[in-house]
Amino acid sequence: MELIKNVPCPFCGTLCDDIICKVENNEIVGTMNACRIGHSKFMHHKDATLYKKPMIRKANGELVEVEIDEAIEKAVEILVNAKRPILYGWSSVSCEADEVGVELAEELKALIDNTATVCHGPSLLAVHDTGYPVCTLGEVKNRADVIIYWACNPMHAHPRHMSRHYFSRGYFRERGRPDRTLIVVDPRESDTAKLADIHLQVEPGKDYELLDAIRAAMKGHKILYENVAGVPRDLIYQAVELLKSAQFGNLFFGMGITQTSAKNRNIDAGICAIEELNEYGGKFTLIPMRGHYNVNGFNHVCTWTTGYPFCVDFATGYPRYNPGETGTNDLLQNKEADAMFVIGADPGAHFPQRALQRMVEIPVIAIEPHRTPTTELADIIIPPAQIGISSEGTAYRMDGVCFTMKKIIDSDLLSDKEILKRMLERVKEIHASESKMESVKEVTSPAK
Amino acid sequence: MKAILNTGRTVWQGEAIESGKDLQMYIDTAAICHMNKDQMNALGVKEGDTVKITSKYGEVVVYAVETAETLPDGMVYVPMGPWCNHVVSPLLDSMAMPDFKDTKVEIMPTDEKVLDMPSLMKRYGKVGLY
Repeated sequence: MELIKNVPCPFCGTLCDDIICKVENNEIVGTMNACRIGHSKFMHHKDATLYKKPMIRKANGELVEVEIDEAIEKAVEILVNAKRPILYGWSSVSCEADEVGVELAEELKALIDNTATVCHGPSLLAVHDTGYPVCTLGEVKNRADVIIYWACNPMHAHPRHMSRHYFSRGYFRERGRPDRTLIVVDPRESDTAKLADIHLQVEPGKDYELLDAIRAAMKGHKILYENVAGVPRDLIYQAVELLKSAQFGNLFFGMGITQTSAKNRNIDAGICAIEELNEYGGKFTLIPMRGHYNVNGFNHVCTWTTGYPFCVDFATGYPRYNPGETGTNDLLQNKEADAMFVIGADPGAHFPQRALQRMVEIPVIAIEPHRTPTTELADIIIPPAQIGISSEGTAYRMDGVCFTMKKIIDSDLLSDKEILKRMLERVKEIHASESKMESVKEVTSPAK
Repeated sequence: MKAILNTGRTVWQGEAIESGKDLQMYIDTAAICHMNKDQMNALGVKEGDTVKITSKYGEVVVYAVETAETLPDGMVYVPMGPWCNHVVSPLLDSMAMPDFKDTKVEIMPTDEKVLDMPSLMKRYGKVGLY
């Protein structure tokens, strides 16, 4: 048995890079250090469906195996003939694949969007408005004496986040947990909130009010009401005093404020609060709790190739960005989209019903190795070699630090990037031949 | 019983999605509605009974479970996945982001069965292209 050390985990944005994989006969037979979600990602469950060959769906609903060339040809045919195609996902693939994806979107005049659209999209909008006072997870571990988890539950969603960056000993926090104070904001008594020194049990959907009260109290204003957003006034004062006296504080925030009523305005207020806290002698930063291991990577790649992080629409031939008009859910729910290409995501599981009602009406192509709700709605399924397991590539952690994902075992399947490159080449060939035909028509048509 | 539906990750749901979304494990961890004990008593259901969740956007049948993470009054919690997404608010508020949390729902005991993932997705009525 071979032990492969220092493997980055291809599950969540924490990108734990200390996993040890036990490999026997080109199969991962065990892991060390991984959380139970990461362990499941590395291991193949014997009863779960893992696609080995591309498939197309017949009219009777049956999936039939086809060769890779045929699957790619049919996928390209759908996308080239579509007027309003969506290329969606991109968060569980490498940055190198994302880069080819953006070029493919431009060539197809498609909309390209990633899972941030149902995750931290509002945070990206707030960053445009207000700024991004970010730091690295290493700085949190080594320096932070106050940590806030707002509207997130890392004990469940990022299971090793707290052990690596909160409980752990750091350069200036030699004792680890005893040297830090934890504030958790959550309407539930979540497993993370149970560990908090201060739990601000905000009423559902009232995070903006609470942030407003905290900012007012920070500036010395009196809070006029006994409770704000369900949180007692004295507890708000106590939290504010703690924040103002911190040496280094960091705010981690999650879906509880990006998916509730005020959405990006919640994050605006959160970023303003962090920027204002820097006026009291301590240093304050924030890091969004990103979900997929490379959701952040796509946002970076998309920004340095198009100027925008997600929801980028190439319909006019150049990148346009207007979330609310150019989001994947916008196009699906407005019934604008007429084809959908999905890679490195599972919208079938994580989009609301109204979006899926459109997905069943249009051709769907899924680059996906497992049987998922998306493959249940797909017309073409192409299984790729998985990044971080059977192919390598670059991924960006939630704080923007990049890692090389390792190839642990061999696979007969093409990587995401190779599939995309073959699709891009074929699309370019078709467009070149169409352009040639147009030129011939112009030359041979009689002058008016 | 009227309630506010909250959705999100649990470590068990996370383990299930990475193990295989066609496994029983996915149903056991995502086709469930976390409730406080007093809510279950008010509904007259016990752990493992089926309940129907209805919103203005759809309905879905899931199993009732007693939560280990106490909920505020009037809130129930269904882990993220295709079951809860049958009933969450799809409204985008011109921000491209659906309201996955705080959807108003009605919950009632039912004798209807909980659908597995493929059966649940079949309800959307996909017809093959080829």
